[in-house]
Amino acid sequence: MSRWLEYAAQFEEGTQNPYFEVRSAYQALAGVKRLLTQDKGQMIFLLGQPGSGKSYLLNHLLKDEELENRPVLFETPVSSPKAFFIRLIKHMRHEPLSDDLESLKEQAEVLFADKKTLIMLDEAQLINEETLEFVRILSDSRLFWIVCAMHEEEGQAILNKSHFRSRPHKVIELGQLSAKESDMYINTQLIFTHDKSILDFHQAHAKKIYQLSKGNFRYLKKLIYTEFSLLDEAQELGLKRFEEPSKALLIMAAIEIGLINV
Amino acid sequence: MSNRLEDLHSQYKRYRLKQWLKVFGAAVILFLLFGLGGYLLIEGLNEPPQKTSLSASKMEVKKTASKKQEKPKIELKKREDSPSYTLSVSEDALESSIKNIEEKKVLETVEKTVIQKPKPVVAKPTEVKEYKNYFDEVEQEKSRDVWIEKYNQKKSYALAISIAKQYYSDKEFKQAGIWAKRANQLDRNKEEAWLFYAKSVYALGNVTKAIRILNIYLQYKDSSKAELLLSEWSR
Repeated sequence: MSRWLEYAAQFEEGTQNPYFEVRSAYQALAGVKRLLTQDKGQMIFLLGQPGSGKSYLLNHLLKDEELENRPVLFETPVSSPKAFFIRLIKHMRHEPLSDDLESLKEQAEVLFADKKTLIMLDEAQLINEETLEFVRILSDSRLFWIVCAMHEEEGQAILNKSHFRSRPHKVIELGQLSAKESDMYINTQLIFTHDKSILDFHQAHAKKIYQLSKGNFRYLKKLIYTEFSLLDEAQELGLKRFEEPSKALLIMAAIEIGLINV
Repeated sequence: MSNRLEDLHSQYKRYRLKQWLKVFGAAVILFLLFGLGGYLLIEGLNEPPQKTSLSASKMEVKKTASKKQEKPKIELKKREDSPSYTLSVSEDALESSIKNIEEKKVLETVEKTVIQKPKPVVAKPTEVKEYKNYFDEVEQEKSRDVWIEKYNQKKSYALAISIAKQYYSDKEFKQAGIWAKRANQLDRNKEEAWLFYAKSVYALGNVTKAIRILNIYLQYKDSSKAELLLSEWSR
């Protein structure tokens, strides 16, 4: 593996990083945790732009050992209330005893009765309205805490619907990265490369990188990942013009991932 | 170069060109704006001198106005010397009246001349003269009645003095005196009314009263004509 691909690996999607040093994410996580300590369960909406770290935050909660609740993560949207219960029952390594919705519900309640359960629904904007309404009613049962992670705009549209407006719920929004956080993230990831020139270049162009990635965490990672993959490609082809990182390469990477439309 | 890198590089070049054009366009717009602003500023700066020239011209106008105001001084003096005034008076009377005028310093200040300037109400009397030329006596009476009627509808100095002049020319001095007095009451500043009033009274034989009228007027204003009449009547 070339050194460029090694560097690129630092920015690969799903790579461990000091994400929770990001202020807005830390605040969102603290907010969710605070709500989970309350006796009465309620629906929590986690809203943010694509790439703002919603999925990562849910994964963090899933692995959080300090959490009192039993976390269950639905990474893909459920299609119906029945499918929802079947997934829950299977999560507890049980098989559904019936096909009837009420029976499924009762079976799930029995299985999860011993501990407060946190059900996390990623990409919840894709769940149909009927299922979402059913989930909302389930959150009133006080047995389940439900977190729905949604894209900001679609999530707001769902929340504006009358049946959600009138019901108690909490909304936690995930903000964008600040320029300083973006810079800090790049430095933290590149410091392990032990390549001073690479670190210096990205520090010198931190502002441009932030501007190109628009403060979006996913875009930021994707941009630098693409930049290193282009450098690797140039190295393979023996193109001296692109043998070192440059501003031109950064812009080319931004064009490649669609951050710049030419 | 690989297709991917080659393609990206050409897109990058296009992007740079667009960016450069944007910057260039913005610079051109800014330049034009600054140019326009500068032009307007220069225009604005150029305007005040025009204003000053205007004000200067105003000053000139003022000066000429003041000169014009001064002019009557000379004209009046000329008139005093002109033989037209001496037609009705003797040379001795003229000399004595000039002496009197000098003593009183008739045309001492500009202000006084300014007041004197509007004195000649020439237009109206000329109308009467023209009227005199074209109409016979009956028509004169008719027109006089028309003027009196007009006067009754709307009182004005011009009508009153015109009627007074008509009566005076018709040697109806009593009526002339009445109308001159009316005119005088309507505008105390008009010299003609004073003079016709005094002349009418004088014509009726009341010399003392006529002199008193002129003296009153002379206390009120300086008038060479009044001086002339006074000097004539006092002989």
